[in-house]
Amino acid sequence: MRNCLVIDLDRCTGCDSCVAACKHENNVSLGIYWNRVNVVGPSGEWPRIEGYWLPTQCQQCENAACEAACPTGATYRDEKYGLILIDKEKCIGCQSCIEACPFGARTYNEELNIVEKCTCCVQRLDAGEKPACVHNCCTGARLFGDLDDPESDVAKAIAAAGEENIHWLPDAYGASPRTCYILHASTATWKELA
Amino acid sequence: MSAQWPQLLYSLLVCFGSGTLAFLGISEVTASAHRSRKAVAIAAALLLLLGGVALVVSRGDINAVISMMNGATRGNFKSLAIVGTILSLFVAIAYTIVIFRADSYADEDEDADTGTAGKILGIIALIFGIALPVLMGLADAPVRVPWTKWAAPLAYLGNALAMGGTLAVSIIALGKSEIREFSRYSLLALVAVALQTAFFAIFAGNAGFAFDALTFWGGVVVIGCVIPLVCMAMAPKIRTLVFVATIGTVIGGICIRLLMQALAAGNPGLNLIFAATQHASLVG
Repeated sequence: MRNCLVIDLDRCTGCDSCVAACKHENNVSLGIYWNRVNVVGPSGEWPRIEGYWLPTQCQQCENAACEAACPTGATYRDEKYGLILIDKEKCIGCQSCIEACPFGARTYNEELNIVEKCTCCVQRLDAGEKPACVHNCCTGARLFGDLDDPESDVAKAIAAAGEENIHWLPDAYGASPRTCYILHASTATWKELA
Repeated sequence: MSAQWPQLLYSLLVCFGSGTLAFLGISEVTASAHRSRKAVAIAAALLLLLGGVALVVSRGDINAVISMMNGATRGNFKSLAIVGTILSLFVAIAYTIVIFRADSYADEDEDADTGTAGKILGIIALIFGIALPVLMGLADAPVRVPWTKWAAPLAYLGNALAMGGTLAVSIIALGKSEIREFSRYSLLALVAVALQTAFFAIFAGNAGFAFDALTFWGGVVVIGCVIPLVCMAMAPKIRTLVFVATIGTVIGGICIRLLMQALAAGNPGLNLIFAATQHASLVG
């Protein structure tokens, strides 16, 4: 089972609904973000200007460096959904995982002395619902599901988009992020951000 | 990010203690410097103990330190370094007890014989004294800077041996009864400082010498390497210089760890881009 988010950048308008939904659903403290919407661009020369919104959060890596770096075993791969999660009881706030994450997806909660990140709203998954960011995305740009299930929303979206339009964040350390982005050249050219 | 001092002191003191332990092992295995061994063993135990205290302070809670050992079975280097520190402390304490007992049985003008137990503990001390700085280097190496995986353990090992070696020679110098041993151990410590200089050069070369100039050129190169090298080379003539060399290697150790922390805190390119382009959020 390889559950993850797939984000269709052709549809993303940068409205920040996902950011608001995440903070509301997970009671994320002020100043802390489990997901963010970044601007890539504008680039090119007038009149051919292009750009796109790039939402980022935990990439649910296959070879999660955070899991290996955690000395207490607080970061683990959950058996039920195959997601990388944090056991808050075990986390001692040493921030080794923050240092290890190549995508800057983790944040330190000073008040609680623990590290936090996107959980794909595992509490909603337990209730048979989709993650809050997926549910609240106005344009349907965010999808969640099992990459190994051909009938899942994410697998269907990837198949429909075609291989050349599927992108990943730069993987300099062999982390193999699961989360992928759909972006057609007609919308904008994918920028390798490394 | 500002320097994480408790974390830095933990790493420094444990490496200092393990380097001293390595020299204790050398003296036991080579059956030399008998009269300074007790003080060297106590120094190693104290340094390792203080390192442990710094670790508890850095985590803020003894339970957090105990939790950190959970990863040892998974091969997590931070966990293994803590386990290694505890085992090394046990070895240093055990050797101290053995040498105190041996001392109580020996005549005043006779060298204490630590027997088989001392020999075995000496060999273990030598192995732990070399292995622990390597583990500590692997634990401190920033994951996102791949070359540090091998360069940091080398730098830490060189620094541990240089600090431990110069301290052992300082203790021999304070004893004043082992002039021949002083010359022999001065040479050994000089080799350790030279090794440290070579390993620091490899480390800096990989980083492209892109460090804070004062910390690197002033702290690591001049105070940490050049001064100790000169002092140890001149030590057979001017004994007091070994104390200067010890202080120099400790400052060098602090500075190399500051540079390691700066490397670890360096944002990956992606984060820099995100920080620069983050969309103004309407919430939180």
